[in-house]
Amino acid sequence: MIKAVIVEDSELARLELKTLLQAHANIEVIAEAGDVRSAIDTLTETSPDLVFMDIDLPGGNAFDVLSELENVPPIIFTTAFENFALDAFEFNTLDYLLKPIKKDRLEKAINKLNIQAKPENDSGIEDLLSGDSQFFIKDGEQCWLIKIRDVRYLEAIGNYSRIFFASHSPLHYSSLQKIEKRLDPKHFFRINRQQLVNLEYVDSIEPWVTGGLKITLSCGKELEVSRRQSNHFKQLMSL
Amino acid sequence: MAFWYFHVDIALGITNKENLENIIESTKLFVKENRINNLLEQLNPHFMFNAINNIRALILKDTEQARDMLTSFADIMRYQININNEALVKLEDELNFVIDYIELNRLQLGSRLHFTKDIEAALLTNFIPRMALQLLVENAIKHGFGHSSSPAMLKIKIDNEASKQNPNAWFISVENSGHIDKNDSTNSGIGLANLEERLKLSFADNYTLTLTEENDVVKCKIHFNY
Repeated sequence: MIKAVIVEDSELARLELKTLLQAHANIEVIAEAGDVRSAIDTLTETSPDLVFMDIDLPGGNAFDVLSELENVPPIIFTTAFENFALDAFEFNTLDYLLKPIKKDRLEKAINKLNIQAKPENDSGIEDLLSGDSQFFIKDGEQCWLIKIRDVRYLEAIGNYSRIFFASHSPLHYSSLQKIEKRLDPKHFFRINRQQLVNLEYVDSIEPWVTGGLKITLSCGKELEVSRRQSNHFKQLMSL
Repeated sequence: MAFWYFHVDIALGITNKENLENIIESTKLFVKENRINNLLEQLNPHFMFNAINNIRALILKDTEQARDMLTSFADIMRYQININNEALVKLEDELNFVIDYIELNRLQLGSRLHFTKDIEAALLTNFIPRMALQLLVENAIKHGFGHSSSPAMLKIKIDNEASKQNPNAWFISVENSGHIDKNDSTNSGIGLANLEERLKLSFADNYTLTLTEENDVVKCKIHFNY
């Protein structure tokens, strides 16, 4: 069963969406929220597989909710009218449904996300983010919803981090240490004090004059693995 | 409209390029302002589409009320289309329109909306700028209900406010729970400035428009001396 949450201030609009979702037997609406504050709480507590979220909410908008979440679930945005808030998105432009929502548009949006129900997890331990996990970044006027698998590398900038993906590198208001803890060490490796690299993007490796290694990413970017980390890195890459 | 004629007159008299450029610039500005004014006199499309979506859901719950709401929706569309292009309307017409508007908003706000009205019926034949009361109510809803999903109050009051100097004075006020938002980034400020312009055009100095806050209630009031 796919567990869904509806974030929408109008009770009637929630009823409308729940009625439309009756045609999708594999989706169960487990909670509803009506404003920014309660949406943050509900989504943090329930960590659903899917969220329907109106862009305009009492107390702000959908992005005020997303920027408070460590792990952003797959989202289908809804809005009554073309929304200026969406102009802030450049990368993987977001899809949204106009209200009233058409049956077939809803079905398409759900299929496109290809949602998998999360396996029941009773350990209570925070899971590592998978490649499909996404997080939201707002840097200045621009917003991005980034999938972990699209991140090539991250760089510490004081207590913040710069995240390199596609042709963008926004600043995230979270320390590299904090992000590193949530990432799978099999995929992300701390090559030196400043940088954390997604191993999927490593193209070539060669010894470097400092006694460490020089790696080249598929995008052509060259980075240095410190001497200290080189052995561990070689093991990981099975060299 | 008067502005258009003004511009056409100058345009006919132009002799040099600099003049022409000035006129083009000021015409552009005028067209832009005019467009903004038109926009401000229209109902917010978010409101319109939310209303339709809410009625769609209401059909599942209460068919009779859904039918009534569709009629209200038709009425506000009709009022808004404004075939006669009149600047002033009878208060009674505007009030009826605004009550439909509030009832449609109630579909969105549900039990959060606590609406009351206190109307001196003898004043209903007075004239006010079209969409003036609507603007005050729209702002009150936006600010009273936009910051959280808690219940909030909305109140319309229309009454006499006679004094010795102004025996015919009266007022319209719209109140909402909340605070005046000093960093308002939305267009309520533009809306009020625009209303002020329209009031000035029709009533010269015989009106005041005030926005005040007291005991967690924001009150927007138009006081008329006529």
